[in-house]
Amino acid sequence: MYIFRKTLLDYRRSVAIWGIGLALLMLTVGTAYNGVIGGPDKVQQIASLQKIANSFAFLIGKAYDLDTFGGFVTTRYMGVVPVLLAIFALLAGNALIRGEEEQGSLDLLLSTPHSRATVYLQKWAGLVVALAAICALCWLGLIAGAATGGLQLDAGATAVAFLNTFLISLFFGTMTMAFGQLFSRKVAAGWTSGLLAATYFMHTSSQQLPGREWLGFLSPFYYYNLSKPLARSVGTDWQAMALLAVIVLPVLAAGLMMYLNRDHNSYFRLWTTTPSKNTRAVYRPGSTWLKNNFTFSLGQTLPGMLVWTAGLSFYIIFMVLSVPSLRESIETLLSGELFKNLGFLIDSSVESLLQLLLFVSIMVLFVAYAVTLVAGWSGEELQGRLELVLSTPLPRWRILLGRFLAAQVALVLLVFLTWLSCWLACNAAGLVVKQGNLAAAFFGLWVVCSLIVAVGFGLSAWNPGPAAGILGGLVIVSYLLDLLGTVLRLPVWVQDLSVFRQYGKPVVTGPNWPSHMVMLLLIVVFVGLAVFRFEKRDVVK
Amino acid sequence: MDTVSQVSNLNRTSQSAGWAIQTQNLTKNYGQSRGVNDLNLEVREGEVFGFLGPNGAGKTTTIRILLNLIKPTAGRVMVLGLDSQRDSVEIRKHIGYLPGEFSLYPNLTGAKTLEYFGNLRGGVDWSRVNRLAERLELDLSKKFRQYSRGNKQKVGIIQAMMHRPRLLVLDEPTSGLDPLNQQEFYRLVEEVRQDGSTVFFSSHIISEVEKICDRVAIIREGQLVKVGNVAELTGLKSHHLELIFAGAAPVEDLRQLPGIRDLSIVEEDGPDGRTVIRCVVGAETLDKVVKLAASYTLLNFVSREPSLEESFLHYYK
Repeated sequence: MYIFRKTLLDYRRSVAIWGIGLALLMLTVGTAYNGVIGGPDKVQQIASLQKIANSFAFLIGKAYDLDTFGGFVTTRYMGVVPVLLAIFALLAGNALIRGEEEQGSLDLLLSTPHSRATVYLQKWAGLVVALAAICALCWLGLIAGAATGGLQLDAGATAVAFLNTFLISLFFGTMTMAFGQLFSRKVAAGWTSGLLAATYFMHTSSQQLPGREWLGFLSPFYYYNLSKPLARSVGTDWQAMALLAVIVLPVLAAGLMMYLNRDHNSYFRLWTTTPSKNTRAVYRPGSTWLKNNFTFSLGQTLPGMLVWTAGLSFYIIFMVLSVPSLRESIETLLSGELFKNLGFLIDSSVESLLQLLLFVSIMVLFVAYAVTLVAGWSGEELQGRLELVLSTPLPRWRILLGRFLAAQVALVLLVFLTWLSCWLACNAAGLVVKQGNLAAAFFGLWVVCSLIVAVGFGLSAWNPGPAAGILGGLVIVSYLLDLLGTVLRLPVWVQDLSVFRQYGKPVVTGPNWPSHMVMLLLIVVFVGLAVFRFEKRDVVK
Repeated sequence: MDTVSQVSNLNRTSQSAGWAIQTQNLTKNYGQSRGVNDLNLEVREGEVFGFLGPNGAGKTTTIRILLNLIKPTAGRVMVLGLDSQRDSVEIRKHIGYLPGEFSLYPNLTGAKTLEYFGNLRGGVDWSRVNRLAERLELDLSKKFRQYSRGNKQKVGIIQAMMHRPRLLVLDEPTSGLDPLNQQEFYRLVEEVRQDGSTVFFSSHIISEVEKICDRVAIIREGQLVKVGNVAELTGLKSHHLELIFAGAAPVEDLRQLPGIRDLSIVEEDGPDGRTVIRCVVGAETLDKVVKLAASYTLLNFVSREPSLEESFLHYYK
């Protein structure tokens, strides 16, 4: 069991960060409930919230029993928490076999008298326990949050709710381990992320769009959502939970089978390719991508950008084409008082619908892409690739700015191509949109993502090790500030620190130039700080 | 101050033209752990300089400071007459560097990797790249991740040498190379030297140091313990003696002599009455030992010069 224990030891920090972070979020749930529903006009508030939640069902799933604290928790949080936990599982599972193999540490482990199956299964078991620990911390946080708010919550049902969450996140953790047998660590993470996003929206949109119900059956989120242990009108579907547990097993078995049948430091292939006879063909230098640091960085960045563009464009087109069928039901809700209290829009224009249906979600995805750009840059140094680049007569500032500019080009292309997809989809769906506002919405996405990349480069210039993690944490805090700031009655200046809040709703209101200008200025400041710090510090080895 | 271009106009074949590397009171602290401490080192232009020391002695730290990858806590480093921090970019135009451990782009072929690094250096003569690859028997068409450790090392060696640098800084360059490729590498280093360039390299392989180095420095616990040419270092070494006496031996008299260590009686009053003694004797004491032994009945006197390795191990401890 040494491998299992070592895996747990490796996870201890991330379990602590994710577990305590999510537990703190759960701790605020009681206060949030009292803030939203605890007022004197409780019945009216619940009715409004029910309508709003149903309108957002395509994003967060349906609303249940909002007259109870358990129903509120189910509606407001139990749609998001499994996604967050699945992201943890994805990152953690991704690091296990393929991650260690790429680092070279698996070579030594495999030289010890342990079978590959033992290694794979003990590491998977470490992932299971790490996930369980985070769920346990969430459970503690929620119980404490309910007690703090003086609210009733069934501890047993809460435990079952988190067991359900544990099972679906374990599915994605196991899946990323399996993808790791077929692809590199980065590609495996990309495929699992895509699967996570696709299955989530397959489920939520299948509930809303007539004729597409069958899509939901293909998604594990469908089986997850059959159980709502904290919502009394739904309860626990033990068969669905058992199914969730069972579907992990073939994925685990497939991953293990591929691992047992492939070469170390190689990928599992069902067929082998015959090597070319002329393996020593004369090489003629002259590739455009290898001309300089900028073109090289661009060449490294573009393939990932194209994958993200394809995924985002598909999602944008899907959502825009869905707007006409959702329009009528949403329009009836947009005048709700609670909408205003929660900071949502109060008119029923096409732009408002696009803001609700599209920009709330794609902004998170754009930001996630920005974080991956930073992770790629800090990874260059952490993996030792900068050691040789920095021995060439290139100033450090040029290396950093070359990479930053490449990231900018990737962001501009991503924003432009997704804007083009959106514009084409709007035309195809017959939606009349203010073109200036639509362009402003995508321009705003570029500004926000550029700022996040600049902050990430600044963090990386300080210390590349934790840079991507800290940046991810800052993004989550920023998101929560925007999401819960009003409910938690945080001071306006604190809420204004959120980049999501600064983005605003440009598709409705047009460009927010003062905010954009401040963010553009901050980009210059952070890049300047990054260059200054990178010039001064030791290169990590 | 001379610029590199000015320096390059000097006679490259003259070994006394100047210093390729000079460190003055160089110190690098890593908190509690050791880096280098008050290191004063001078490497002449045109020489092959070996840098030896046990693991963690500070070799790689020194090398990374030369490249300005890490900053010294105190002291100064001059490379090719230029300040290693202020003129780092200018210096790097003339340096070829092979790190002890390095990572490159796994999905890029060896050729593309070398083309990229060549372009970062303003372009290289591709025929030289091909010649180096042929001599080291490296297939440039394979992706970096498909290379064995030794072949990855060859890519690193070629990228360090392909632009004909004036100073080659190599951190354990033969690590992972097979014996045939090691020999080819030694020939390449010799050609670099004949071309007037300087080679500064760290190694654990004493035989290769003995074979290709003009001078050697030994570093231990972050401090320089010895610098000299190979001949000087071997000249300072001790003699390992085995003395076989027909009868009694002057054991106590030998023990009293200064400069004798590790004296042991291997055999005493054996079947034929002989006594066998082994000891290590410093060069300055050898004459006294011989004269003392000559006053007894000596059956045999064996003096074995320790290998360079044994001499260096003495400094390592």
